[in-house]
Amino acid sequence: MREITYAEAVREAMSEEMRRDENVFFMGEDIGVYCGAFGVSKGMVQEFGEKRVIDTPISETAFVGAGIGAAVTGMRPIVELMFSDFMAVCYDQIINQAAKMHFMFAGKVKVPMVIRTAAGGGTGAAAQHSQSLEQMYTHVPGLKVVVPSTPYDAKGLLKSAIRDDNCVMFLEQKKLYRTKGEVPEEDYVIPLGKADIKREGKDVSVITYGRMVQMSLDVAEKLEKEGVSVEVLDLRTLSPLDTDAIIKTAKKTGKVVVVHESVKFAGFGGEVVSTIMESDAFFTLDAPVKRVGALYCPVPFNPTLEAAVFPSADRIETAIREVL
Amino acid sequence: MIKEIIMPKNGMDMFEGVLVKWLKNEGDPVEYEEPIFMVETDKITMESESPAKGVLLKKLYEDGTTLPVFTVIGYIGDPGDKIPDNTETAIEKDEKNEKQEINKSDIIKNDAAVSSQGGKIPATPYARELAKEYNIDLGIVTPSGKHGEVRGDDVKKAVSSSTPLARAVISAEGKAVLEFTGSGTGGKILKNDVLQQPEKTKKVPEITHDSHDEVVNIPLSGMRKVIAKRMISSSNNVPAVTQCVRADVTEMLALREKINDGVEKQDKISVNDLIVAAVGKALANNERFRMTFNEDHFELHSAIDIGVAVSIDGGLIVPVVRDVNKKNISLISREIKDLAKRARNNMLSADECGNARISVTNLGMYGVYSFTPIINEPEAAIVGVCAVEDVPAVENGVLVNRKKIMLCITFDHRILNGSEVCEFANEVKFYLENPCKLLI
Repeated sequence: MREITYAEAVREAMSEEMRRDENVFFMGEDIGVYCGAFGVSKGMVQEFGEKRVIDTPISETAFVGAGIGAAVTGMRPIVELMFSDFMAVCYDQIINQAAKMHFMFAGKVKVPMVIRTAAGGGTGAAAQHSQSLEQMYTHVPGLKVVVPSTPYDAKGLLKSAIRDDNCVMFLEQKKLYRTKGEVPEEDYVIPLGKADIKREGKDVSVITYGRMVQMSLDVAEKLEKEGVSVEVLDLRTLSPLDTDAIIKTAKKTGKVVVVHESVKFAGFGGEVVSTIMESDAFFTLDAPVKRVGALYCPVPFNPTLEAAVFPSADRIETAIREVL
Repeated sequence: MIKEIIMPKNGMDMFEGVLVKWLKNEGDPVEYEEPIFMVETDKITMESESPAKGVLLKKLYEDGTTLPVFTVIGYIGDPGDKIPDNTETAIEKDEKNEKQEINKSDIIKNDAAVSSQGGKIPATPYARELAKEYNIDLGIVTPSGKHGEVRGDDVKKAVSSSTPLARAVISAEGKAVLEFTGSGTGGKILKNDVLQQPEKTKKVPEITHDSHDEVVNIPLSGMRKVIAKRMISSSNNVPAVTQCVRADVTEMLALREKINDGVEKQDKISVNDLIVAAVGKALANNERFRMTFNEDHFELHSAIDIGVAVSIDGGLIVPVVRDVNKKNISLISREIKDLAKRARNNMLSADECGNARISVTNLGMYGVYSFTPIINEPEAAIVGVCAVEDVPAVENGVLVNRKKIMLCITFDHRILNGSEVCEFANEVKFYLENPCKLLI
């Protein structure tokens, strides 16, 4: 199968959906001629024209609000926020409007909108351009939250998100944009709310998502040589959450490490751990569940300090050894 | 007709044997009394014979398995015979026997998570679930967790290494499973291991690896186990005293030289042969040395049977020369040579060991001057033979060289008194110093 990058997979998903459904359109900062800050929308304005690939002013509240309005009238907007950190500018639109409208209007209104954005760190972009804020959105009923880890997942999940009638926060991993993977040319979708076992194992489960998936797989491969069999579960969608898959893997191995790039304190890992504790998987636990996340610290610009703040293969390995 | 092959009981004190090796494969035809497997008992390794003519239908155990005596280990029959279904293994038997006791026992706790030793035991949820499932007291499980908590594997280990009733008793005694050594099949801890050996229980020492001393665990062979058991028993149970007497063997050595002159090497008699003969004569004349102690009475034996200690690879064995008083020296010598050779090749039969009245153990070839041998129970005494030494002596006012030998006799003071042993020792000494008396 051909290999394309994560960024190309995202573009392919958008383009295919825009060809398939004329209600789908795309807007955001510098996405047209400039192709977006990460080159994701290269060639799209040439194919679809400026009416469907719309460069917006630098006002997140304005264009996210415009997206909500379009969605309410029956369009299926894809709105790009250049950096996920900038969502803080338009929280009212996302949290109070996009997430609530369907409920506030007693189901008469839908907001079938995808907010795509570049999340995460590891690129030396400092504290205001490196955050992983998924736990902010998973806490808001009415939003779906997706964090793809591979080009294949990115394409299949984005197509599902575009076809979904809810507001979907699609958190792309900026550090992964250049990574390559096998992606079918034909149309396929990956249902939201379905986790994926990226590696089968029997001794310990690593439950993770996003950029940490590949890192966890590398650690699993290393430990395999020592005879430690690590299962890696990629959540893919944080909301809705595939609790069955979490409980199943916890029961299978009895030892769980939850890994995410966002700050460990009050991070999404707490939800994963609670899912296990509240289920009958609790009785199969044979070690305290461990979390690996970023330090409680704004992401430093200095590359050495930045690396120290984020989870690393070493820290994942250490956590696994602690529960073994 | 299908017939069971059983682990034989080759002696009163044999409780288990090792199925060393099957000599036949399943499906092989076998004759009645044809050797079909090798069995290692406490004492020897020997062939075991087929109980019937037919075909070896089934082997129930692999080579190398240790099994209680009378365990069915396989079946002989005609081709097509149906093998009984109830081929329960010895392990299952252990547990079944104890299960019946469990029903009567009220010491099993219902709340497995709370230890008999009080307080809540730190354990993972999985370990608690397993403890509940197996009805095992977490307090008897040795924890391996990083925070001192019991983990799932710890429970599994405790369960697999002990029977339910044994665990109940361990729990009642407030001990841990790993403190005990199991005597059941596969080393399983049985109830009796807990009840009978409270003093012998010991924590399995942690093997430490410091820079200069590496510790390696070497398992005991069946023979080593028996030696250990016997030595401890003799050392603990027998009030033993050792007396030494010195005999002048100058004449005896001269006589031996004459006897051996021109004789083929394999037919030459040894100093030890002469000493066995002398001990035989003294044993015939001193009946207290033929007694065994039996709680409220002595048993007096008539046979002049003498054990001769033979050091072999991996241990020690004491084959017995029977009726020494009825045999001449060359016959005694031939028998000892034959027994020793077969002992070294593991070819002794069970009745060639044990049931002697006294043993002779010889360290003379190593130049030993004196030692305190341990009695081979239930014998009354043991004669330790030392090296022949050159000793200066005055004879008719002239300094001469005499050859002397030390005999160290350890005796059971319940049976014998010091003076009785002196009489015996002096008689042995008399025969050694007047060797022509040995010849008649």
